[in-house]
Amino acid sequence: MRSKVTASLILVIVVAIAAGVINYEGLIAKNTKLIPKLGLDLRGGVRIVLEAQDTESAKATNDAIDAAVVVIDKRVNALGVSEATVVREGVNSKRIMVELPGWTDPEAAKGIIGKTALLEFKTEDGKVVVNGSNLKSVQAALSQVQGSLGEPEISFELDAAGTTAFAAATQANVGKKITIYLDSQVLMSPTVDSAITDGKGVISGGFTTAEVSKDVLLLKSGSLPVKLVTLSEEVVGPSLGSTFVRRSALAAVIAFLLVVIWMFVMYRYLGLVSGIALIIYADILMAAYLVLHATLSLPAIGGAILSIGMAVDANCIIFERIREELGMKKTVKSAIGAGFSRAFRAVFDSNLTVLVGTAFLFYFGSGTVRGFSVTLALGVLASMFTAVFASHTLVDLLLTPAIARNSRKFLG
Amino acid sequence: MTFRERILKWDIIGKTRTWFTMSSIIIVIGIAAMVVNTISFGSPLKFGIDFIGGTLINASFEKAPDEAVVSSILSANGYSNVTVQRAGEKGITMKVEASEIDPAVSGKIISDIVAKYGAVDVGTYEITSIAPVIGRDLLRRSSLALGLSLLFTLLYITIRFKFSFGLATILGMVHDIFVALGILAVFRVPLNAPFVGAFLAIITYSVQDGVVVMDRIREKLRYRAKEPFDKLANAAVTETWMRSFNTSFTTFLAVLVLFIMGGAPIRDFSTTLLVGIISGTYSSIYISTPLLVLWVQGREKAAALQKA
Repeated sequence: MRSKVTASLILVIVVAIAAGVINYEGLIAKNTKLIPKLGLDLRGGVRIVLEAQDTESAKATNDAIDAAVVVIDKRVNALGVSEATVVREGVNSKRIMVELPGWTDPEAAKGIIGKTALLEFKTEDGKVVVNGSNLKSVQAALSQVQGSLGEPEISFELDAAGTTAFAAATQANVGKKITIYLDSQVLMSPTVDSAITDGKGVISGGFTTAEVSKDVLLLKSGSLPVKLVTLSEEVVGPSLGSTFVRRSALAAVIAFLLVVIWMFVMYRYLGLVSGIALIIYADILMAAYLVLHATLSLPAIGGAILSIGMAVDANCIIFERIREELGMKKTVKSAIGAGFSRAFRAVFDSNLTVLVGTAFLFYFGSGTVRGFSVTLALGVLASMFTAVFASHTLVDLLLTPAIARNSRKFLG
Repeated sequence: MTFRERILKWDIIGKTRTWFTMSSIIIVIGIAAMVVNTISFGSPLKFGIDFIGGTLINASFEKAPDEAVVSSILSANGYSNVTVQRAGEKGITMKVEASEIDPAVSGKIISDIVAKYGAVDVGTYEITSIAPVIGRDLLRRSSLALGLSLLFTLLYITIRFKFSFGLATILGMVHDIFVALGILAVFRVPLNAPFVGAFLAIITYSVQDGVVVMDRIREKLRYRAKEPFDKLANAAVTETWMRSFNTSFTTFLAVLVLFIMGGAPIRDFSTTLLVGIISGTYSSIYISTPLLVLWVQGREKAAALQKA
């Protein structure tokens, strides 16, 4: 018996310390690998959901959507948003979700993300001679030409195929116009003086620096192979979320204290044990969030708070059982032993039922539901661990003969 | 006699009719509210924009905006189905129906108001703009997840206990779902995406609570002498009553603190949770167990008749 207690005690201490170190690293030392991941609703930012649509020229095939994700990813990274995510919502989903944490300007984001950015060089009779896929390089530049000196412009270089096509087209269209379109909008419409054979050129025409850098970014990342429409847009100001995080952290502390006070009133000495068990529980749970990079969002916090209730529940079941066993005139020691072993099945079944439920929620649910089921499942596992190992060990350990003699007074 | 000793004397199962009547009244009120809502507003529950689509903007400007002026700016831009409400000192909440706005252009609204009332405070502003199709998907996927998790919970309890135990627990859960939906319908609480989480929490809580009571009945059945099932079940619920109360009360405390301190973003969410905790605890004692008693007694009577 004693050796079993010692083994459990060592296990609990090791786990609690390991969890403590992880929490210290993540929350206080801000170790980048362990920094808590907050959902967009808590840290602020922009989330945009786009849907690929079939058009006459481009079907929304799986490959096209995957390619679009890569293009958007390039664009978003060029914006310099750290930890931006661009994902397809499911394997065969036509939706792409873009999250830009900390970003506050949805219009600028949409101007870059959803733009097809199809660059086309068309002759007067509407024939496309060169398009964006022929671009070898694109750069923002300043005009070197007298008259427009210093004006922002886009300089480009075509690849081999593009150069050949462009040379042939300029050759055939001397004296006529070749118009350059970006997403069917005219960028410029110069008249061809002579054949251009080196595949180099500039696009100019009274652009602002911002316009040029945006267009260069778009052209560099390539055009989207499929038409995307915006389905939803969410913007959360960064201070809203942080206020909420601060408040709910404080709420968690107050809730914890109230729970411990109530447990003390109800179960006296045992109630204090559940207080310590709850601290260990919170310690393990937080560490699990950090290690697994669980995203903490509003519903996830709901799941976490609910799991506090379940952690307390395991203690309530056990303590009530001990009381009952005591009522049957058993000794304190055997009452505690019987209490734990009999209560275990109820704790096990109730928690496992919940785990089964959360597994299905996770598998079939979408974002919100998933966040909730992950935090709840972690909470259930942590609470089972603390109930089985920590609470039991603590009760065994603190059960000195003096307490055993005064059982009624100490156990409420 | 202490309070605990008095609980053991309670005849909970004997008053089955009272509990069923109480729950029926609450559920009937809820259903009536849903019917009234359907007639007067077109849907039984007040779905927020996460489910039906639309645009919601919360923003503060340098100068305090005037509701009427903002309304007129919006209608000049072609949005007539709008609700505009002052929020806080310099803030305003604007809601535009989905039929009128494309998420792609929702930001334009802000720029027009900025022109009138000065820069928007980007630290605290919020825009949610959702196409109806996303909302329908959320509803469909959440319902599917919910249905399947109910089914497998039933399967699990059937394996670990018995089918009748699982059925009683699930019916208790259905009770909680109706009570929660009813109360949401009566108070017309707007339902948004976080609500899905709250709702799942209620269901989980209900199952968890129910299983503990069922476990006690299972244990008692093992040592059953000749005592009738209703007496046995009554002993099981009275013995676990204190635990059920303490668990719910502590969880209730935690959620209540969140309700008070969490502020507006989480208020509807925590309201749903509070209702669910009370209903979930209540149903496992006063609904699921009496239902199980009715079922088992029915079976025992049928078996006795067959013998005779």
